[in-house]
Amino acid sequence: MNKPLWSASLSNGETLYEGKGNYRRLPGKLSPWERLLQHLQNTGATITSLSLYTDGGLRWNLPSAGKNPHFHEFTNAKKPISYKMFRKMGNDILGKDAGKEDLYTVAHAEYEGGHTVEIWVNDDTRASWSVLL
Amino acid sequence: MATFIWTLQGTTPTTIDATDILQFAGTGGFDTPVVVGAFNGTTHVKSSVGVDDSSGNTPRNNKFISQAGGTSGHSQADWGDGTEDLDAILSAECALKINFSDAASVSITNAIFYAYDGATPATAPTGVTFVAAEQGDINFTAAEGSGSALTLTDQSAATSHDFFIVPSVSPDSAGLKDSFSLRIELTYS
Repeated sequence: MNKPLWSASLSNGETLYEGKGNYRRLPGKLSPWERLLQHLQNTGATITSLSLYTDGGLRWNLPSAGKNPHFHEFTNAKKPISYKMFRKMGNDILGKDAGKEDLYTVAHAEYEGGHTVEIWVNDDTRASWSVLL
Repeated sequence: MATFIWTLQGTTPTTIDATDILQFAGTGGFDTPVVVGAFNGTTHVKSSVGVDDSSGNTPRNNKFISQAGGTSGHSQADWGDGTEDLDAILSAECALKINFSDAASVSITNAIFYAYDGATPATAPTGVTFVAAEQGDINFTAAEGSGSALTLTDQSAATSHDFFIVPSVSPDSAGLKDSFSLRIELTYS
């Protein structure tokens, strides 16, 4: 099954995809996300929208910080001030879940005031949750 | 693909496979009980068919002695050389090593370690008192349930990350304690 990957649109007009071009996963090299952070540092660009996607056509979008949303409701919605992606993994020993590895890919948007919105997607089942923190 | 490997350290490490049991036992060795109110005297890896997988590997044991009885209020433990301040333990002397690896070089943040009842991560294990520390910590953490977890140190980008843990457990009552799981959670990117 295809794993969730990130897609980021940048303030300089680029849209970058984990798993494609310079952002393929390369053994022993910095992860694609770490390379994206380097690219942001080198160019001064910022992330204006962040999504998770699979090669199978699934997509999960965070609210965008872009200026041209398709619907009026999005124009009035508060816009995130920053984005990040991470993967969360848990593992047990002892008990009924021993050996089970839970892995989620998470897209995270932060708003003024420290509030955050996260989308968690299970790497195996594709089940997803939205979390307000 | 990201992977965890849990190891009971010793003269030779013993990998703790998914079907194995990390056994906290008494001073008498494998399959001997820990006295109620006392802490583990030995630690072993028990296979799903009851075999002592760590036999012959001289497995490490980390025993809680006090929470604040050491120098400047440091915790104390015994890892085979008598009572010492917790922060004197070396990574090789920690009973538990958890390795996380990924093909790519990833950084680790927000890693936590705790015991729970095997069903609900927020719930403390049943019938035991569990404490843990990361190598270098000065005090033990009562790491029972995800809300009281031991916080592990962030690690910068690499393809392999080791966490060295000092675990110790005491039964609150007589009997087998199997509502008891250990769990690690971490964030990587």
